[in-house]
Amino acid sequence: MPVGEAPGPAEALATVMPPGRGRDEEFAAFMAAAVPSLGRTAWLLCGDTHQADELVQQALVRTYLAWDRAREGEPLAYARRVLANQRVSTWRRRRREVLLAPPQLPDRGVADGQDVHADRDQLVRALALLTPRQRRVVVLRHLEGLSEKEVAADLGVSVGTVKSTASRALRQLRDAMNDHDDAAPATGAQAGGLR
Amino acid sequence: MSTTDEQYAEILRRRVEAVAPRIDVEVDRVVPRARRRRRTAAGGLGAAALALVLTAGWGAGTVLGVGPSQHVPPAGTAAVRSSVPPPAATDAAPEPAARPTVPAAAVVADDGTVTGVPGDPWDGEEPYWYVLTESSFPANLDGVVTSGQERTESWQSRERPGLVVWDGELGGASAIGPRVVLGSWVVAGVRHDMLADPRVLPTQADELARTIRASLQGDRGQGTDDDKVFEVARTALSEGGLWGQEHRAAFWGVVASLPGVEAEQGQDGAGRTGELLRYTDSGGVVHQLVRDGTTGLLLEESRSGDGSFTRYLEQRPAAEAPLEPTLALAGCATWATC
Repeated sequence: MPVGEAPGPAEALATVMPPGRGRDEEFAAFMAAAVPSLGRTAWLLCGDTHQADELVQQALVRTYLAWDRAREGEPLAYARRVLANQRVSTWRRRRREVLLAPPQLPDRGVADGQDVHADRDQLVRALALLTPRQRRVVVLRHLEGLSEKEVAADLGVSVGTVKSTASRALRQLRDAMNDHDDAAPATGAQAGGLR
Repeated sequence: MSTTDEQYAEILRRRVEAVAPRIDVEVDRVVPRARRRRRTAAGGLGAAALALVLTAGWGAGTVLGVGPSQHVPPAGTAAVRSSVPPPAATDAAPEPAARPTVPAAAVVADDGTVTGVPGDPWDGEEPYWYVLTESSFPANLDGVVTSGQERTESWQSRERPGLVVWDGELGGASAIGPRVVLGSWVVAGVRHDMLADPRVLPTQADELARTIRASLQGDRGQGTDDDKVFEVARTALSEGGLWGQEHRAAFWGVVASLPGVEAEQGQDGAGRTGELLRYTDSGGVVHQLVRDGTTGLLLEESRSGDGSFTRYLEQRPAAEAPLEPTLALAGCATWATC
């Protein structure tokens, strides 16, 4: 059964396992709590809802296989770490696909619902331009709100690398989305200015 | 007043909150997949252990599967071999070995070294398959993005971690894990979500095409089944030397056999002569592949409409990469999950 409630901040999902449950029941409860957050992270990393579903499933499969170890700590952090560390080549392949203009991209000046799609598309394309490591860092650090130390631990890099990578990635996102302080405010489907 | 990184990050977070889609995750599939994978891993390790015992008398050096594939005993035929003594030397050409139906499992060590499955398929001792590509993507992205040009160099291997460098900038290099996973395949009626043993895949195009179709998943990929078959074959062909020449030829044959495909001699955008296949997908987009007929390696892949292409300028085994692939460069915690 699909699970996918409205996404929320990762840190709001402290998953505490009720004692005395069977392994599968416990893991099912964990999945129900973790999937919205993991789904959003996956989507930010790959820019595609179907691919995000697959990536979350893969991360959950690995988490299940290591459940005895994962549940001893913070299982959501474990699953997110697995998710963020999946193959670089996946992202690179996706990048090519993301950069191809999708036929369903709405025209300028369309209704609000389509504006959301256009803004979403713009964000995905901007993220796709980052290197895999930049994307992982900026998603975990700035879009999911992890601390620099947590990101460093998740990705196996130094805090200094997180700082420098995140800063450069944000600069590139500003360029890609034309989010400069002196940029004219954008509106509608092409909204790229600060709001 | 200029916006700081933190302020801009907050703006981005609000934007994400507004546009992030709901992701429907098929959680019911997770536990069955995990159990299937656990069984597969256990079976693969068991087969590898059995092969180790059975082949000890013949020369255990071939068992771990880290050398060229032609020197590795097929994992799934270990039981058959147990009842058949090693063939005596003879002038007659040996019968082709039966293709195994049970894939071996890959074991990725802490340093990223892979054992348990066949290694890199090229001759020689070079540790990497080097590829230099030049790609062009659509420049018209609603005024948002880039010139759409990119040069990519990669040093990849099925046996060890590799490296990718974009536009010659070593400062932006990224390490990648060993390219050991071949995708999700159904072999002898059993789905292997992370197949790592190429020996179980047919090297005849028609048989390979049937295997690909049997491995398709309804909710994965886009377009018709023909479109998905094309994408599987195109992806494999784009991986070049990481597949052996027989498999490359078979994947090419798979594309050639798709309905409506046009085949001819032609040239790529750089004027290099090669064999050309043109496939029109269900959306009307024309995909063109050009290969070197001798090596079976792609020269170019391109799409109609947006003018995008990837041109393979250089492909060969390479003795070394310009940087050591490290976990820090990969941004991974372990090579096994990288």
